[in-house]
Amino acid sequence: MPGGAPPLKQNGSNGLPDDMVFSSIDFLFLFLPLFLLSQAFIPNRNLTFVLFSLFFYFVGEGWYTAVVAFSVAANYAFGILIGDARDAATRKRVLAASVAVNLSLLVFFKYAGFLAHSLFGAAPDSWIMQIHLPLGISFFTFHAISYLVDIYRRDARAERSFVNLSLYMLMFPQLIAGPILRFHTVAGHLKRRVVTARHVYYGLTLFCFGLGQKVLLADTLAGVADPLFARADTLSQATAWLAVVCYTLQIFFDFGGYSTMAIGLGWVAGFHFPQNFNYPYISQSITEFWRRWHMSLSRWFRDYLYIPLGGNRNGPLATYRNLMIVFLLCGLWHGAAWTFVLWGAYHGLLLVVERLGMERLLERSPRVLRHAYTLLAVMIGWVFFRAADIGQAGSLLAKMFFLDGTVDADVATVMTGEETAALVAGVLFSMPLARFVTRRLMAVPAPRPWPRGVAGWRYAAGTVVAAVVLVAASLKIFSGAYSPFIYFRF
Amino acid sequence: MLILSLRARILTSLIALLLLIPVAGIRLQNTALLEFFHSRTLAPWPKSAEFAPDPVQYFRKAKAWLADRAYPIMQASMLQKKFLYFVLATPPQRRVTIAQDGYVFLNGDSDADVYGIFENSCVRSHSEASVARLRDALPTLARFAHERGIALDVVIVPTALTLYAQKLPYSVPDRYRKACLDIANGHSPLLGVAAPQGVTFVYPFQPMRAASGDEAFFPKANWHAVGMSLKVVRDAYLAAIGAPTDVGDRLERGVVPSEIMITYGIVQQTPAYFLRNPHVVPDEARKQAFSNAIGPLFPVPVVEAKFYANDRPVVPESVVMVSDSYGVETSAVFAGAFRDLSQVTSNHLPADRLAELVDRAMRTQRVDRLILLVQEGNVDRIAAYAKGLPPGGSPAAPAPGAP
Repeated sequence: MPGGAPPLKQNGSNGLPDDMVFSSIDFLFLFLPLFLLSQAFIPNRNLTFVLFSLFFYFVGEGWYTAVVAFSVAANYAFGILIGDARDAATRKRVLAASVAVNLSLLVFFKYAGFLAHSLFGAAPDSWIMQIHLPLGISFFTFHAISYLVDIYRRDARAERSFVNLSLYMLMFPQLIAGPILRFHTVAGHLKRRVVTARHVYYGLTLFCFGLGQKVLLADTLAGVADPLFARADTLSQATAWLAVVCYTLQIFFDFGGYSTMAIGLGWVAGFHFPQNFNYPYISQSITEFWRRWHMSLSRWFRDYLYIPLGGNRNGPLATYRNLMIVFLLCGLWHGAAWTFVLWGAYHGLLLVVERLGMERLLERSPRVLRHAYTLLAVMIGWVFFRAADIGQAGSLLAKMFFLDGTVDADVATVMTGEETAALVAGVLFSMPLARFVTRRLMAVPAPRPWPRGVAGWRYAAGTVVAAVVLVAASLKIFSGAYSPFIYFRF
Repeated sequence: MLILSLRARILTSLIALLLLIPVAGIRLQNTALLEFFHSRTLAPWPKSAEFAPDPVQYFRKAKAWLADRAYPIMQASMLQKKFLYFVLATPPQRRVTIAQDGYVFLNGDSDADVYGIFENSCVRSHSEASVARLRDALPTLARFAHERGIALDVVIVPTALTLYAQKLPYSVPDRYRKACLDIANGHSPLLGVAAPQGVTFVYPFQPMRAASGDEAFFPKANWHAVGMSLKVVRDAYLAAIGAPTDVGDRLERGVVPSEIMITYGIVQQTPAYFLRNPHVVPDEARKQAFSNAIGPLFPVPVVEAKFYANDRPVVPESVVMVSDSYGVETSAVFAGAFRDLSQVTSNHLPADRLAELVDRAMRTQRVDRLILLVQEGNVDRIAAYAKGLPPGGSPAAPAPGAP
């Protein structure tokens, strides 16, 4: 995706997404029920789960499934080699080689075109620029590295079962957009897991809520953000802000909704995936934002890059350097384009500035100011993230902060009633109000430990709300609404 | 190892079975009804030979097959569209625009071509190239009419997109909104077309725009003009051919269900005028004779035609009107001026069959005048008709019994 905008999937001719995503008719009403039945009745559930996951991937990527299959096979062998190595030096050498193989795969498929274009001016029609980016390669590569490093660190044992390792790397709920699972956190579940009716209730309720976030909020807000970003040059100050506000909510509900669906499916299958988003827009600093946004990615970078680089153990300067490295790579991980690099650098810089003393300043500021600063900083970041190129990002930021006299639509006329309702609902649901309601009334999210004696009416309330959301989302899906996942190709 | 409790197994199975209903219900769906609903042929199941070369494409086609037929796609879609429209004032489809003050516009023929109608009505038809083709066509048409001894008139009917361009919301892409506004402000080469001798050209934009302030003039959520708007078109036309405009019909104000929204099952009444003329009556027998005469020229089994007789004409002539769908309502209004008027909707007529159509009509009935009438997005159709005419000569023999 050299030099481009976030990698949106193209819609098919009937308006449905091309690949098997959770909000498509084929997934919801064919793949998912067949998968549920298979988990209920077919004895060898891990193998069945792997086969379903392979099919899921094959539907979207065809013969490129060979890439992920190669990755699984190679990492199975690497894991055993690291686990069986007699001395530390050999373990280290095998780890280095295996991580290099994984990163080479990622670099070749994801960054070769970008590098060739940026460093050598490769033409857009040259072969290197035409390399296909396999779905979820960033995710399964990170899963593989987690697996290898966990074995190296003796946090987990090498997985002797090829099926179990395949399941860890290919599990369809998290295969293409996370959450990113660190191997040692799921190794136990690969071998033994228990599913009760409460788990199924919780998982499917979460899935419905995630589906609602994706279909009813993110997709609807995309209907405002996409056309506005497409004509960024003609926006006025008001419409530029509207575009950024809508995108800010869209990306949260798109990615957050997908993660919630994945976590829900995980519960149904007996896996307890970690929470991936925790109301990031209520953060009071960028440091806090990164503890709440894409938490599984932050944890991965912390455990496998930031800490190995030295973390904050070697003084302030080394800490700042490590932060910048981590966030530059985090930006690049999101996409092979300078806009992503800039986005990563911007966040790294904000974290450094906060550590330099701004955090203390913020602590002494009124809470509303802390929220305002964080939200503003995050929204500026999303401009880099969403813009087609750095020029467009600059132009949009200029429109947001300086009146350039462009006359554009009245904001009220840009949005339909549905989009306005989604905007209002998006603002409300991006705050913990929703969690308060679902936890108090519906026993969702699952309290830990699972309480005994939860009143039956709470399950009934959760079921009714989830069913309403499912029906509303299904009606929209049936109507052939816009539904690409933003994080699909990351 | 996965340990699944019995209750979990039962719950999982029940939910799975519920989720399978849309696929299991495919057998309940009526293919013909689905095709009508989708306004296209349903996606076919992919051929097995397509699998190996490109499995992704194969699955896309399979998914399109499923998405077209999932049960109950029609009812679900209608329900969602009604909710969106009535509760959230949101258009039911991307090809529909809800504009200011209750106006509803049709942007395109299908969701695959969301702004196709804007492109045709506000951009292409008003382009210099399109108008030049129209200018070139008019002398050819005049020659054709002269050879047959009939009068020929070309009427272009403005659409709501240009008449009410100021109502368009900013959600309409700038290219189209500005193009429509430009026309509304009188900037279109179509307004400057001067017809050569032997043909009358009418594009009654100014009189229609002047009358458009009445909210019932052009029903707010219609694609086709009706009532008062057509009366203005007719009167402008009659003035152009030098005929009296006092036809004697009268306007009655009432309401009509929105033509655009009714296709989504949404009943919305909008103010409209009805034109009453007791002297104009449909003549089924002569319509049938007209249809039979021209039917073989159409590649479709059913020809959409009308025949009106009028016992108090202001122009004692027999007219054939060849039109797009705008002619369906317009023909009854124009019939108020003539002795009789037969109309045919020519959307399916190959452009090079116009001459034969006219000749066949002349062999079965009296024809004094030919009116080619299209909405402004179809201006190119006039040029296509002229291009499809034979080089010259061969006027039709008079119909048996025709004076």
